[in-house]
Amino acid sequence: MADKVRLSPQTLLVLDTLGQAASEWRYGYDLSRVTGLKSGTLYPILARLAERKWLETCWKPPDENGKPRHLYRLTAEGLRSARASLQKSMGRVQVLKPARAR
Amino acid sequence: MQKNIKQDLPIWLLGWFAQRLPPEQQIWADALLGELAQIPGIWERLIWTVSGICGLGKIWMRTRLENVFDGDRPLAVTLIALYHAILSCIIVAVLVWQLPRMRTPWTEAFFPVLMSLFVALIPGVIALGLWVLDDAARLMAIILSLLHALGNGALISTHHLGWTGRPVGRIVLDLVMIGILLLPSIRGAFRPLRVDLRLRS
Repeated sequence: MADKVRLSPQTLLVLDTLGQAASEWRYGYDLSRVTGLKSGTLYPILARLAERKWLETCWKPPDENGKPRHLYRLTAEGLRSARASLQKSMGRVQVLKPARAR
Repeated sequence: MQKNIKQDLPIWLLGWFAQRLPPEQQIWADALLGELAQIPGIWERLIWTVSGICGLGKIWMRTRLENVFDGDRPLAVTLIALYHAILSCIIVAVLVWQLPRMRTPWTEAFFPVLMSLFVALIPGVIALGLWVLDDAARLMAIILSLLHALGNGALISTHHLGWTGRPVGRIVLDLVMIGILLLPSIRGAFRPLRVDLRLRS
């Protein structure tokens, strides 16, 4: 699957970030801060990954702020594909990462 | 009060945009809204909102494009859509081709030309609607074909035409298209018009 899909450097960056602690659930805002991607770039990537079943999502019930939060983590297939894609495109992510990460 | 308005503006903006999204994409708008409450500072919240709206637009556009190129469209609908697209292109081309020959001053001709172009684009819009299987476009195509057939009928009834083969052929084509678009199997392939039902509370 990963071989057939062309992934942008930003998608690779998101996969890399999610893959670093694959079992942990991550928030969108947290991912945005770590990757340095704006919400307008991050969410279409998350939507595409979820569509491909590379990403599983769940809702955290509302806290005192009154809004439920969406959480993300890689599926087993997503983790496999992410590792394969990242290995193939190692250079691209490493070039992007220092410039983007805060 | 002023601070509340500023704080609520991103939520209002994002909420307003989210209401216009199809239900299957609502989840991403809700996800953006959920994070908004965690973001400190009005500017960061505004950037999150504006960028998020662009992102939702991208998701919406990608889904629409995927629908355009999916393979569920019956062949007859594809052909009717292509007919409308070609018809629109021909009318626009004829209009553009005639522009340099126009003798009327532009100040007088501007609005009639603009209106003509607008009318010429109607079959194109219908073609696009048929392509994405929008039921409103199917109804518009039926109405346009009916009007076109009636127009050709009126043209034949003037008895000014030496050879009536072409308008008769166009009437037959219009009736065939109407018949196809009214078939239950074709009607079933179109998506029903979306009706949003929302509770005020």
